[in-house]
Amino acid sequence: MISKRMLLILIIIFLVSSVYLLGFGFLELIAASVFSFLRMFGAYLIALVFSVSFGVLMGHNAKAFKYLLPVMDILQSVPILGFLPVALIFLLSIPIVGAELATIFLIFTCMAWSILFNVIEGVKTIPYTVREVAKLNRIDGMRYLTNIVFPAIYPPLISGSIAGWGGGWYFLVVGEFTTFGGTVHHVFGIGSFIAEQAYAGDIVLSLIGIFALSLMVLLINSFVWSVLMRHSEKFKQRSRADIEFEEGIPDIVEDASEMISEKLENVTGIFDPVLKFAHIEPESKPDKPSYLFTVLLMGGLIAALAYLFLQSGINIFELLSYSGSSIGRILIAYFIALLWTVLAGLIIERNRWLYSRLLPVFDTLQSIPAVAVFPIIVVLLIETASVFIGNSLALEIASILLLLTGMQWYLLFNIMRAIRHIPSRIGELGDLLNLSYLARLRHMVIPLMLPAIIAGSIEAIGGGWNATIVSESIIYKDITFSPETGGLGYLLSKGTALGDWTLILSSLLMMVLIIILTDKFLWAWAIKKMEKYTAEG
Amino acid sequence: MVELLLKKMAKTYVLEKREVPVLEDITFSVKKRESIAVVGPSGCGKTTLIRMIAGLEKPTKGVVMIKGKKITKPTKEVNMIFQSFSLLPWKTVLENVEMALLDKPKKERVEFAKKYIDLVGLDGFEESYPRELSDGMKQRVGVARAIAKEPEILLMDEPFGSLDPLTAYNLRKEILRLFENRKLNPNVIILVTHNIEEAVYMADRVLVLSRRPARIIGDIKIKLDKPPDIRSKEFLSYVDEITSMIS
Repeated sequence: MISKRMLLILIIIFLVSSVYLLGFGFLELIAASVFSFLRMFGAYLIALVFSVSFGVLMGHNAKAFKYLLPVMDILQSVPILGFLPVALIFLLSIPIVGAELATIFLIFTCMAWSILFNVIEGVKTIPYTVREVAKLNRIDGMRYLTNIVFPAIYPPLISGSIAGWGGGWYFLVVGEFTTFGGTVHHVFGIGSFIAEQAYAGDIVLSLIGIFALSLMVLLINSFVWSVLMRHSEKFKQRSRADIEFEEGIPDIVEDASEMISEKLENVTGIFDPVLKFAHIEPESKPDKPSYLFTVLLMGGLIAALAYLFLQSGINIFELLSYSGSSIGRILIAYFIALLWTVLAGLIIERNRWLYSRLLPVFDTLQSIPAVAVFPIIVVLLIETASVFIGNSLALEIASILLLLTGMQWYLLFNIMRAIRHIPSRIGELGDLLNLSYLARLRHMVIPLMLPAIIAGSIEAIGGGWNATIVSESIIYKDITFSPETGGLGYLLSKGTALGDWTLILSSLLMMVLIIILTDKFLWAWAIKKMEKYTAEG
Repeated sequence: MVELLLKKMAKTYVLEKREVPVLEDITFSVKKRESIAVVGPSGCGKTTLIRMIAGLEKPTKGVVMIKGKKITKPTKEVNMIFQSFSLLPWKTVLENVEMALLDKPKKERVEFAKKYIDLVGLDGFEESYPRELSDGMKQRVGVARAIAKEPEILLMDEPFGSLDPLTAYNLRKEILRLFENRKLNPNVIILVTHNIEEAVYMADRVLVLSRRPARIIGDIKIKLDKPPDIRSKEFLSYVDEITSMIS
């Protein structure tokens, strides 16, 4: 975690440089940041209510789990930006608040899934003996929720929220500024500030915007999320000694909250029938997701795809070759990311001093939402590199680099976490057995890192698909650039820009299909293979 | 007076479409102020038996009756102590015991919980969290939570199984002491254990189950003073008798 002193220095640099560059425009930047934050916060609240209610329902109700899980699974695999056209077309038509609602909805779609799936996992991990205690003492209805379910899901809820909130930042820039059907859709905020400056060609102002955004990310991470994270981790293994978090809360607040919770206890009973109806009780447990229903859903998707082809007259070979070029680009970016992060991981593993120095640096870099950096990369490559290597190659490289920014951190952070958790006795075992460095790598370090690499790869490839939509259709100085080989992301943004539904849906469905197939076959296989490495020894 | 009656009870599980009979033709009754121990080879269905008395599982055949009422789900007359303690780590000792008393208003609930925490010898630890307690103390919280509801029937599923021998010895003695107190519930104790000395030490009657599918192959009255002298000849001959029935 970045130190408080470092944060203070960054804030001062930011204040000085932005006042110097912007003058009174500085206040506009602050206001834009506040607006963006409120938007994020609003979306988060909605995501929280959505995820907790559906998560708790799906964690208990066998039917809900059976049928909703396949639906949520498919929705989750839709690249975040894939919701863009849907949101824009339906929500933008609402007068006045439409644009705002569309943006909040899009940020919500980035946040909801990781929280939802973590909540379901949290409900599932309530030990069965605890459920039996609840049954024997007839703790049901709201009492069951407040005393057992909510505390049990608190830690996974926080870690899911951190991931979701990060996803929200990533999307903010696109959410606040997009072109749709030939018109620019934008709302006032830090994301649109960055995009507008960059697309107008003012890189310095755009950088100041990125600086402000990253600072906000860092501040919220270190003052909200890391505090909640620590509290929630300890929550499961509480002791009197480490409830210092609660000691920070003034007595009046604590007394008031105790009084409220006591009053609520009497009032919330009115929800008990609802909970009983929904089978949210200690004895109910989810079954498996319905295999038949999943197959039907998938079949429906494929049928819809086929129908859209016939309607749109899109050439199937074109769609396949576009899929191929997107996959190719993602794979190239993935291998670059894999190479450098594993190498970095191996070096850091040998050198703990470097590890402690680099962690805050990576943490800071990671907090810069990748999409915000896109314009800068674009300018560098299109303005300068294309002179030497030609336009089409420069665009390919730009596209891959953009993907890379949306993928590499997932790998890096999973690997770093794994390294931190390598038990020291493994190193001692290596010394005792007198193993060479290569033997150690082969038998100890790599196997220990593998589960993290797989987990990181899953997130990275998912992030890659999210990034295709922006990386294959780069707007710069009001002109849209795309790699000549095309891609599904290119097709989707083209469809969005033209307002062409068949184009939007067919490219989106194709993407969803590829993602689901990767999940169900490649990743499911890899996770199964990995199980032996994650076992405690 | 018959408190608990099991009549021709049987339980069959269905595992991967194959029927596995676990318990067969279990019939016995328990009178007020009786303590029963159920012993048998491991995996024979002892735990299934008391889970059905608790109402956590339904018998395939036959009935479980408490005071003449058929049991189909957990009732307030029964509570259970688990081997794994099953405390909520995010709640203090007091709050954990309160979990059994949520029907009562807050003030009364706290009073009640404190009384039972005192009774198991944990006064002064009301505000501690489970993590700060030794295993023996954790199980005391489990005992307090189970008896705070003042159940007529207290079920115990290997309650001393994860405790060290000395702690287990002390806790056994104390539960016997609590049971001897005629003014308080529980009126009936049913203990499941694989430890035959423990069964003879705690119970007035030991039910011996056979291998799966389990039937009752012995119903032995223990005629010893409570707590019995574990080195006495009578005690050891009971232990030998039961051991020879199982092996």
